[in-house]
Amino acid sequence: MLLNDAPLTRVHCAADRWSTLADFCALPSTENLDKLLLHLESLMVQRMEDRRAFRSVIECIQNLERHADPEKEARFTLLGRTMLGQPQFKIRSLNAIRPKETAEVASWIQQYGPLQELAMSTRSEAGIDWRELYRKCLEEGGRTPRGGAGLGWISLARTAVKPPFMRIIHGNTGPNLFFSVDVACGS
Amino acid sequence: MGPLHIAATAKTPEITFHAEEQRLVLSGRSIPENAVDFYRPVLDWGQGIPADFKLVVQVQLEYFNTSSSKCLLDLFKRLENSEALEVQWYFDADDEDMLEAGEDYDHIVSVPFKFVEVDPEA
Repeated sequence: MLLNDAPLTRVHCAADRWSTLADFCALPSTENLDKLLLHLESLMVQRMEDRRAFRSVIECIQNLERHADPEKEARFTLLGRTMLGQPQFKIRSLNAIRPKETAEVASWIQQYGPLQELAMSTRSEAGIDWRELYRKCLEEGGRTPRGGAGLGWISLARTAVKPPFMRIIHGNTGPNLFFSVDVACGS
Repeated sequence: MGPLHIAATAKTPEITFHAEEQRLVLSGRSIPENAVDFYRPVLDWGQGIPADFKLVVQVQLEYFNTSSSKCLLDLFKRLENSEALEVQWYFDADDEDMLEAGEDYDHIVSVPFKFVEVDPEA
């Protein structure tokens, strides 16, 4: 497991430059991901505002636990910086998808892709009401034993600078999922 | 009303029914991989509550994942039929997201919610 980290104080001093706070590359076993989560909590949650980012981290890491192929290494990177005294975080992950779940992930991207594009192409004041969408999905949306069937994506979108980006990348070793979200704190 | 006590773990909350005070308390963090399995005993317990039983549900969670959020909704919906139920939703003063999460449930279920602001420095 590769884990590069820097204390958050470094982020606060780094002004507008992004710093890599953590870079994880290992098998996405529950044990490894639990260690990563614990590590990131100690790194990130120094102020109440940073809880928002940590909540996003929880969702992203649990997505890895659900969908990543446990026999292939997964990559998870957390970047941070401070802008106008507020921390900002970028979360990136890349993982091989469990062979049986590729179709499910693809259909899921197909479902949320248009929403993502709509949000990206709409002025914020006339944009999507993420809170209302979240409530609707919480109340009416489907579920799986381990997840909220899309609720996680919407909850990430709700607190993100822009909606989470997901793409399946087909490589030599099979399909990989690239996931990216930028979290807005203190706003 | 049967007893209910589930000890906290690194990923799951402590859940206790204080029978004498008629209080159900959920505290800590709720980020289990399989929330349905975790919350099943709580939902089963909720099934046995008489409609006229006065119950206060105190939610004092620090974090919960989306899988848990669905289960919390199930719990509130199961308790909706109780005539004398109140949910007390605790949130740290600066934790706007946790306040909003409680407001979302308040919007969805027909159970009275009381929001309790906590000073994290206290």
